[in-house]
Amino acid sequence: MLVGVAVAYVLSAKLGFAMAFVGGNVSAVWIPSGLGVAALLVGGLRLWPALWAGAFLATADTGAPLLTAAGIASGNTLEYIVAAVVLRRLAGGVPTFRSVRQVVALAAVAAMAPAVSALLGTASLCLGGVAPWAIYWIIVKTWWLGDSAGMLLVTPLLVAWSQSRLPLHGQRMGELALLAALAAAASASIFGAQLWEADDHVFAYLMFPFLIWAALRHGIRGAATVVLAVNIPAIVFTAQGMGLFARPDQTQSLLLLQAFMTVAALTALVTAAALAERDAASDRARLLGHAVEQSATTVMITDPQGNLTFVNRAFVDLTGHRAEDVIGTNPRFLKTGHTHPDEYARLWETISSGRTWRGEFLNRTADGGVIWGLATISPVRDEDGRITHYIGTEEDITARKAGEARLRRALAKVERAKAELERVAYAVTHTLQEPLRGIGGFTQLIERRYGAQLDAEGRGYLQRVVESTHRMQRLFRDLMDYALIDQVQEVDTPVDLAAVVRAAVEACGGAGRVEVGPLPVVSGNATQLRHVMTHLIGNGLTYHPPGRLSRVTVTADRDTDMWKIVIADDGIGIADEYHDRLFNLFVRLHTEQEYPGSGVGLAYCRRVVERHGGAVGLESDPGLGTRVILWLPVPSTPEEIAA
Amino acid sequence: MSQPPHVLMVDDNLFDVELTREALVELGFGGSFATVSNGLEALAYLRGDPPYGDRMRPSLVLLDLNMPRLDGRSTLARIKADAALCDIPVVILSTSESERDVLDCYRGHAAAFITKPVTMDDLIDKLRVVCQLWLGGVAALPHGPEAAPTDSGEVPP
Repeated sequence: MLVGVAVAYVLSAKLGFAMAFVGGNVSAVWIPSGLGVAALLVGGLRLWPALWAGAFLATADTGAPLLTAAGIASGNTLEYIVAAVVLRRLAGGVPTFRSVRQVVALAAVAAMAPAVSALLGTASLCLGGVAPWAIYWIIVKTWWLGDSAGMLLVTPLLVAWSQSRLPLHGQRMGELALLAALAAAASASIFGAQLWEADDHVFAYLMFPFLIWAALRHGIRGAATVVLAVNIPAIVFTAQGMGLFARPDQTQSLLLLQAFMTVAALTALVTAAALAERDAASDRARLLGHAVEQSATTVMITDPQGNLTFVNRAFVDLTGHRAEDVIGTNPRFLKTGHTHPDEYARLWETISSGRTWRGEFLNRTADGGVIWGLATISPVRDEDGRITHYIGTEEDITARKAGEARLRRALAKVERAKAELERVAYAVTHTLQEPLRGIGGFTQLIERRYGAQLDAEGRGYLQRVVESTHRMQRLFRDLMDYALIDQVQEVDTPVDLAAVVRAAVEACGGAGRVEVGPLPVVSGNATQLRHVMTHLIGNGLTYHPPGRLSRVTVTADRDTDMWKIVIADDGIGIADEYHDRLFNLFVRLHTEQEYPGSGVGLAYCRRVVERHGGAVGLESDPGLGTRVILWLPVPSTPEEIAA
Repeated sequence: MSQPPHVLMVDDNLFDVELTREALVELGFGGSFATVSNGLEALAYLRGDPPYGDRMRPSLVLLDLNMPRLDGRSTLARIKADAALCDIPVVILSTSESERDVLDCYRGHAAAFITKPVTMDDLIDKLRVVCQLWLGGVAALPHGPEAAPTDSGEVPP
């Protein structure tokens, strides 16, 4: 690659010398500069050594001292680097010259960048004794203009043809070749023949139809190609002192030629770029139009008076109104009367003042049905800020609305069911306790008043009635607590677990058998947490093996953002297979005679802890003891902890 | 305490009334015992309105919370708002165990809050305390202090 570029550079330099003006080595177009910039643009800046080598060899080949050749090569290479960096920066990548902006940037860079090599290169010539200092500025000027023309003519040509994303097929290629040949022939006939008076510039205009046609028909590649086809004969013949721009003064002749080349190149390139921009814009518009047309969202466009100018397919599909029926009419035919007139007034005020309105509409369809739409309406303004259109989009939210309504109904049903459950729980515990008190109370009254008249068996029966009464009362109470867990409102007040556990230990009558470590302040409901602790500590104390009292320890550990509270006992333990079921309502592992209980407690504990945003776990070794673990969230704010 | 104590029980549950009366008998209560079945009757009784013109002024009121016509909460409020009645101690005797009821009643200047026990033994224990505190030890209770209350009636699950 590097060698290829270097060889191409040397060859193009040879060509440049060949096209030089008679009697001097001044080239009107220094092709290597266009090649150098194109190489760095397309191949990357890393190609610069090839350019330097090429420039060095080409200069040294003319017999210039090696130091002079090195100086010239350095100046040229620097010029190409500056030009390529600036063009890449402005284009945000490799320029395509398919936008007017990039063509203008090329013109600006072609005008400025050659300063670098012209000043350095001429200085090298003079220092090496190749040229006298007296003509320093004359050489700088021609050098500069030659490099400029080279960049303008050759760089877009090479860049455009190297970008093969839109290959021209054979017929197009032939057509372009023919056009280029015709343009070259026309150029040769104008510049090569001494048919006209030398100052009759008007014939130069004959070239422009070729240039413009190339740009219109074949884009940037065609334009760049025909620019070169027109200019090569012009350069060659003018250099021979022939044609329109032949002047006795070589400098004047050169200036005329370069002015022509610049105008011709810019005309063709800008035309092609403008066309490419328009094509890109229309491609984009077509793409967007297609997207709008197949969008599932309804799109409506109205004029400033609110009359429809466009509706997309989704609109037709969804509303059932045909586009040809509704274009030109006001979309009020969609109204169902659901939206209040005040809201329409607000809508118009919003969008006519340039803002976007969002809201929901209940729309009427052609067949008399209704659909819900989530609408966004906003104005479109022209360059002068006048509103030219309004664009309304509507998303069909009928299904969502129906879903929301179903959800609301379901939630209301759940709420009613919950309230009903709570009423039942209340009734059960209060109303059913009345007869229970009658049973318990009068049974004991019999025992007290007539106990002496009964034998031991009879008194035993009475005792069992009383025990059953106690058990029933306990079941009622636990069930009620369980059913009403969610009724307690506050679950986010600071609760000192140490105080809660103290109260629980006292309620269990567990003083002396419960060891309590340091406990944190958590966020929750003190009563519920106290019930939980009372229950768990009570369990620990209750389920002890016959003949040995158990001990309970309560400890806390911080586990990242949760407190891990462990209530451990050394009691009878629980076999693994029961662990999952144990937290369900009315699950009991022992008979009332072995260990009294209602079967509600652990279910209650789990619901309370989960309501506090925590979780419950159980570890147990049968015969060794049980560890119940409560995870409770660490309060989030310092205030909660402080309070 | 020159006069024998007089207790008014306000409760619509006839079994509860009967059990309470019998519990007082068991306690050896030497005073008198009257009952009405809702808050309006209680207020009429306390104020001596007809048909309670010849009633004795109660030395203690046992008040249920859930009753028809005028419930215990409102009855308590009216008693405590009445300058002629507010000095009579009112002990709440209710099925309720809710903390809110308990606190509301204490804020309404109830003398005590007792959750109705389901057995006679418990009821006797609790009434014994009531008698000791508000009826001046009442007429030599037959059971001694060895039968002190054992259950607070506030056992969590």
